[in-house]
Amino acid sequence: MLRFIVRRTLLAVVTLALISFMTFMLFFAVPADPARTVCGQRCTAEQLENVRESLGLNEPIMTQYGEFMAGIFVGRDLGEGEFATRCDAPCFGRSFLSNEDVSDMIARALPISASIAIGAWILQTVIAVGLGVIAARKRGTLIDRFSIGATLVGAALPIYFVGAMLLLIFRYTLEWLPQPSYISPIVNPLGWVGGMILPWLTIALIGFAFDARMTRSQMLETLDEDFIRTSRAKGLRDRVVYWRHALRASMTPIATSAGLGLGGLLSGAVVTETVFGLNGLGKMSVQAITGRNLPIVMATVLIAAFFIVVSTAVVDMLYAVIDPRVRLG
Amino acid sequence: MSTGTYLEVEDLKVHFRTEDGIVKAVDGVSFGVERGKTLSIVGESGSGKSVTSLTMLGLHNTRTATVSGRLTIGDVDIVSAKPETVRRMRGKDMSMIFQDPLTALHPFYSIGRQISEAYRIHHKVGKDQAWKRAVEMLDRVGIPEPARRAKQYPHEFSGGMRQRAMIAMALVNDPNLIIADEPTTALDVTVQAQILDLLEDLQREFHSAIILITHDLGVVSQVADDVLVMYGGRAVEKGSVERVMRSPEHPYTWGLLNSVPSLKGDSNDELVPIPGNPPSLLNVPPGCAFNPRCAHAMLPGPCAIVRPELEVVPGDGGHSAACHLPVDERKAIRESDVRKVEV
Repeated sequence: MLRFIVRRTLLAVVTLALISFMTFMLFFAVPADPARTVCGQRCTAEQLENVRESLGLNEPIMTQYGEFMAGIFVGRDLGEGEFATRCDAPCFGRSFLSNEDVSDMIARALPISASIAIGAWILQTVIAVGLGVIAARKRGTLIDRFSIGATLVGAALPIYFVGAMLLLIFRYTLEWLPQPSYISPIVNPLGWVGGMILPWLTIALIGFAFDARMTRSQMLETLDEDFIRTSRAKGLRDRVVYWRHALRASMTPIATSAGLGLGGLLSGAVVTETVFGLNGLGKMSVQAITGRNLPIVMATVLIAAFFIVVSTAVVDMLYAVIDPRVRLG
Repeated sequence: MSTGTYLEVEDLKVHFRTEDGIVKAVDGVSFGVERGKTLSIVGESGSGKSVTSLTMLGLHNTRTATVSGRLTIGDVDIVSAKPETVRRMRGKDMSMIFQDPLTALHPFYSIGRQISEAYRIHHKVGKDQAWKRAVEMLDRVGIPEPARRAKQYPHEFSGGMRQRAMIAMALVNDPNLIIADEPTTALDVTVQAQILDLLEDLQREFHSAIILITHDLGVVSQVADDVLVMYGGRAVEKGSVERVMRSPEHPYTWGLLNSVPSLKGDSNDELVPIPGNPPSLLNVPPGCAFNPRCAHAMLPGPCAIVRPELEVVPGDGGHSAACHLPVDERKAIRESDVRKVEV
């Protein structure tokens, strides 16, 4: 198991290095000069050259990449000569537009995205698994049809519509909930939940559909297995047969889908953040891309990749926790 | 200890509603078993033997099945009892050993956990005590190093060991009735005999009634006291193992005996398979269900028109068969055409 974890971690590191390299190269392949973004509309050829020099854009591309990566781990000096300032690790450079340290911007946006992601993920996984098991247990009945119908509706609605409707109903018409905002859970846990509940609901209502259907079909498959008949033959109550024996045996694909889903959510929920006016990673990355703000793009892509890679690795390790047959070697 | 009949089945019918019509999986079967005795139910796949056994545990598909008749275990009629009553009896009064122990054990739970769970359903004991009991049972069924093996998972067991574990689980609550559904079919021949011996030992020790479902007449002759031969959802012959094996009365039983390889017999004896396939239980042939495959059927005649009932063979108490052929004729055919299986 330890060997497996080490091997899996190494693989994750290699993947991240490759992704960072490709993103960096991709950005330079675009026919747009980063120096022009920084310099602005009215920019003389001389100013442009100065900017280029101070950003290090005249260096060979591999050197630039090397300096960028080094900045992440040990920090680096940004700018030229007397204007150079220290950017501490993890340094992702400075925003081309505001000249703010990207790591500071990330530090502001990440808790918001993480709050949205974790809450929404828990909610959607609980709904999905619960509904999936109940639908499988009541196969062919109205309850089954209703829950499967609900997943269809959920999957078919766009996020901005659901978000706007929830906002309209709960925030403006019923006035049950405050305007969504980010309040630190350490300072005020209840305020945190109150400010996040609408984004959570929005994502969960749409996101549970896939996992619910998968849970149901996986459960139905498991329920046909011989060992389920055995668990009944022992005299186990139905509740235990479904929620323990059958669900446990159906866990592998559910954990895969839910685990990867969390990785995706953590890297930012662009539409949800926009609908509710929350400044998370998703919004930040979209703005950075349209503004060709290379340091922010690099940082958000790397963070997204990091979450995906980590969640994949965790899911792989979960397999071994779930299924003893995987615990070999 | 009572020696009366522990399980009593009377005119049991299990019919399933399907889209294509009513499947008469079991259509009027009666039998009984005493504690300490073994009844073997024999038949091809689709003869209704497995449905019969699942119904005894109340594990038939209750949504599509209609059950009628009487099925008494101890003092409880399973057919009319509440599902919760039957659930409480499952695993305690009657328990089941399944055919393939690899698929019948939960792949993600340790053997010890699965056995101790079975114990805790019916006994108010803590986890540690139940675990101890599980290890004891593993020891009892002949698994070496039971304390270590209890922590292992089914995939770490060999086929024979798995079936021993399955038996340990079925016996952990001292059931009075054990239903073994082809318990040796999935095992190596060498292991089969060990498992059968183990079952016999345990039966002597716990004085339980055993129903052994099989298609293997070799197994039947080895362990059964009584035999019930099923075909097309009905009993076609029943009696003590000596009578049914030595002087089988039904052409279907003859067919089964002729398709068993014999080690002692003349090696020139050919194995004669029964021609054709078992009938669809959706559409059982009129008259005797076996008539389309029967070499001796009186056709055209009663065999295709009148359904034969089980009738006691004259001068052979307790042995009965459902066949229209006259008794003398059956005797003549048996003596010339049917292979003997040693009992």
